[in-house]
Amino acid sequence: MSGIRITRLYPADLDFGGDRGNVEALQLRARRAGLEVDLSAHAIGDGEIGAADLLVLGTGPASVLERVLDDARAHRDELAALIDGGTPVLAIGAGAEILSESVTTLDGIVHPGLGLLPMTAVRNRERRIGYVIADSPVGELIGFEDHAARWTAGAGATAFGTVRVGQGIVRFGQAWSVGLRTGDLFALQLQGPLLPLNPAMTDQLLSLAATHAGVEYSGPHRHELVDDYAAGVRRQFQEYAKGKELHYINV
Amino acid sequence: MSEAAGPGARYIVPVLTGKLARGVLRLRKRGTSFPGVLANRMSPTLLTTLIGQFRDGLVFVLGSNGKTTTTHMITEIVRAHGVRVFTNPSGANMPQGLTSSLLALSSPTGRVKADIAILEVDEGYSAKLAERLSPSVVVALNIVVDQLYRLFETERVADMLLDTAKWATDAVVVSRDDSYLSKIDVEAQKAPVSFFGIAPDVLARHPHGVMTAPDLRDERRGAVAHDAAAEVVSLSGRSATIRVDGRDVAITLPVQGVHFAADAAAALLSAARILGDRFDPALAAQGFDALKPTWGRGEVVPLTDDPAGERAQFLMFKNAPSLQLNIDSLDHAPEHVMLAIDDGLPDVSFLYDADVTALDHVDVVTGNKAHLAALRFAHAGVPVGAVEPDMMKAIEIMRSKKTEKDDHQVWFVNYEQMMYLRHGLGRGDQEEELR
Repeated sequence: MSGIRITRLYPADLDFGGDRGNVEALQLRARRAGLEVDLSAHAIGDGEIGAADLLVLGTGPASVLERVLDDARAHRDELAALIDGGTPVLAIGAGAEILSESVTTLDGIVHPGLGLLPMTAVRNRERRIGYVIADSPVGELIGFEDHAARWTAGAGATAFGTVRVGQGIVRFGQAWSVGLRTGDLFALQLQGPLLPLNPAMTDQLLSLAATHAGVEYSGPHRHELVDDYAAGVRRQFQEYAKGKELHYINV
Repeated sequence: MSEAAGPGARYIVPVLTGKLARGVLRLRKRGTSFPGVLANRMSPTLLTTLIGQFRDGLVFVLGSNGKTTTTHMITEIVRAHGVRVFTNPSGANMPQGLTSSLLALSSPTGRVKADIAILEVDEGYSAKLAERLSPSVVVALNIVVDQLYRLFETERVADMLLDTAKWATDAVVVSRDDSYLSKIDVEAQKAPVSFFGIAPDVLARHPHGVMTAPDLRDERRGAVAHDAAAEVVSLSGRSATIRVDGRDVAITLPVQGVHFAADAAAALLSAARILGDRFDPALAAQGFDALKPTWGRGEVVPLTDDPAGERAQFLMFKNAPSLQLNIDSLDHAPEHVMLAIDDGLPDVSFLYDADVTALDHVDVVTGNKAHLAALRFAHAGVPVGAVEPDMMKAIEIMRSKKTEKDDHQVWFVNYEQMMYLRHGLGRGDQEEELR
């Protein structure tokens, strides 16, 4: 049986918003398609990251940013080589900001990022919270946004997840988006968690990972129950879109 | 608090206006904090005055999980010692709601017949309220990753609790098993600090411990060691022995579970600090006997008119730790189980942070987030019998089950679903049950 290697970066620190659900979704769909998943993790202080067919970064609290960045900088060249070598990346929230060019925190300090993603992030006090429906090249994305930051896309980044219902984090022209893409690096500010709610996105990442591993991912295909449940969630989000009060949550 | 403060004639207008507003709203079957908003606006010193009149002081109970249960425990222990207690319903743990519930019991001049106020307080408001009201005792239970959409960062919640503790005048009671609270700066407090906790050998038997949030801003992510003035030294089902200041108190918990035992240790220690020499272990144990499972938290509710018919135990969750601890409290996978979840919990990503594999199936998921829950169970490999967002239909399915091996069904519910389901089963609302 052939397989793919998935590496989670800093799971003990970047583990908010159900990020492990994203990994569970990847494992479930890969397994049902007959692919073994070799799951590993890189933590602060660990040695070489090693080869990977997919990198996954989750989001985390402001307090971990500096310490994660310190370690990530020491592994910057390895990560750059992996991305140059075609390893796809899913980065959510703070995980995406670490890969970016810089993160400006509330105290005005500009923290240089790894510069692997053409984007800058500025944390602010204007928190955006609520249900999201967005359009992307893999189809409609649904999820929950909860962030207090604006991202600005640089050259080479395209919108990924143009907001239809919700607020978004990065603007392309007049349209807000929940994320952006450069090559096979997907940076999103969308929880829920993202992948269980959006099987098409999971299939997209697994296809790219399988291509990198030189194996076949026989997706996208229907997974009974899981896809039915995800469709039920999607119907519920359509209901949210009809009612005004549920777009935004007042805090 | 100013010397002049005290109930009196000058409060008659705001108190009566608040009472009137409350009466009108209740006639329309709407319980809201509006009367409190109104009365506080008419008299900004009203809340301070209402709270300032209690001879034995004011107790704040804070924490991510277990506030309501612990508040009830302290209340019953203190009552068993003959002390008259004013306490608030869990839905009224913010300033306006608090004023509303005080108004309900006060005389027209603002007098409330009680010796002490024991209040659960929302962490978002606790520091400001403590500054205004000078609590005698502050009890801080735990800090877990909770409602980030509302409370933002977990460490912010930790700071809110620790900032509140600084205002305590007589005693601070905190968990030594909590990553954040165990690091309280004992020297910086006005009042002496006492710790409660679970004995290590007891804690070791629970697969996920007490689910404290890791302290991500400190190299020491876990709790730091302290001697506990109150420690759970044995726990078996609902029987627990808690050593309080060197004396063993044998109690029966209202509901099984290590989290309830931790709450009980916090409650006994708080009562010991409130009562001082008056604290009597035998009376304290009687307090627990008087304790009914708090509304929706471990409460067993009949599903039919037949006394021998199906019954369901409500276990409430609002975040991954409360879901996990309630799952871990079960001896075995329940015979019949339902989970009800709705928009009361906006972001349910946390469902993936709980290990749900101790359940071998779920009969029904309900509430308007039923599909979200089903999706989570599918990812964990836990089969779901029916996805039925309609609550009344879900109740019908569960009523048709025949529980044979277990004593009752288990229903995991979020707060709002608990309210709706209780209502759907013909149970009263909380304020009617407020003693």
